[in-house]
Amino acid sequence: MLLLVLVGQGGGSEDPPYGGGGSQPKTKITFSFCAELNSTQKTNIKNAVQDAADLNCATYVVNMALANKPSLAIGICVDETLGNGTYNAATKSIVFSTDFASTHVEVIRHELFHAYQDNIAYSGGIGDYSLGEPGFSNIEFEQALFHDIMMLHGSSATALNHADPAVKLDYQAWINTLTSNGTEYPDFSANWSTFETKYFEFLEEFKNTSPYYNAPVIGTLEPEALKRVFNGGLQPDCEN
Amino acid sequence: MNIFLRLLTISTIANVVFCSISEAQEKFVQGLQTVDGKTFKVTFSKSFDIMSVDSRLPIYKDGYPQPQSPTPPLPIRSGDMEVDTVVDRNIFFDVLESKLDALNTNKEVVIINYVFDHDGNILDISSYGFPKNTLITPKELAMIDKRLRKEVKASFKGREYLEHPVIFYGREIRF
Repeated sequence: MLLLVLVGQGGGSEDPPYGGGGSQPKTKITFSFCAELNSTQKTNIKNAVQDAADLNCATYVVNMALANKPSLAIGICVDETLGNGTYNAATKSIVFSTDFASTHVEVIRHELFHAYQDNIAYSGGIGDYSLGEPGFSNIEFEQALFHDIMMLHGSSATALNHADPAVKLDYQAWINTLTSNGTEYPDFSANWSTFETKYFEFLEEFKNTSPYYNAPVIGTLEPEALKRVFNGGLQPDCEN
Repeated sequence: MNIFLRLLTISTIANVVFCSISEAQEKFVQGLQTVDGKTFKVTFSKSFDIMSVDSRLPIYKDGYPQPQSPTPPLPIRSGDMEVDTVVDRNIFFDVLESKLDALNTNKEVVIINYVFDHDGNILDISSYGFPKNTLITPKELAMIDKRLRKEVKASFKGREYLEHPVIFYGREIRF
């Protein structure tokens, strides 16, 4: 049931990502902290969660959906675990390996996206697609693509860093196409089939060039979370 | 074959060779192109209006080193990496000075995919992305590539970058 943290190397782009969510009301995800965590640790984690929400409008929407989900309390622990953080679908909890990882905004953003996939987007959750199982690479590529879309510019895309340069550039061009050259979020309520074809092509590349995520692809498992976040109603200026 | 025919044949061959070399320096074509000692591999995308120019050093033709840890390393935080983006922009604008207006009219955007080491030096430039109808020539790119590799530096803060054997950084320059 474990999902790992993405390799996030470098980044870039001429135009930095905007801070779209900063002026929005605070997100209040309900957490259930492990007993060992002291008040400072809890405060630091809550602050980092808010920082993740404030990154941009897409992360804000993800966090708000989790905050508004009735009776959802996400467990939070700092303990020995695989990687820097893991989301456990069976227990609805995130375990960070260290205090440092627990306040790392990108690690938190990544794991909260898995929580969103599990609790909001996939009707049956994502518990069947755990580490090494069929579908694991689907779930992780969807997360990686979410990251690259929220960064808006293809040059900042990292999911295919280790792919052949021509494939990586195709992927970067695809991100620019999806975001109209970094000016808007995609609308997956339209042209879904065109998107889907490319999605599965690049998913295969991701699987083949990311040793951590090399598990069989499920060709029928659609990126439900992306479909839900980028449904045409959301734009980088937080118009919704 | 009389002497006239021999001279004609030699002259024709010389012309073909000369024209091929000139064309290789003036226009990107699919496949390998060597300009001023630098070999590029050019691929025209089948799906997008983009041309990939693979500029990897021969030692990285099989890929860049991946982290050896059993799980992915911590991502580099936004703001923990700075790249000399003024320097690289100036290099492009310097080399392409005579055609900046035309590049602007053509709405050209170039993607550069850098690979840095921990000291902030360029380990490699994996590729460049150009529109298929770019006005930039292989010869100009060879000049730009040579200068970028020497002059562009990155700097890092934090500790996360140390977990990555190489650090990727992509960038766009608009004309």
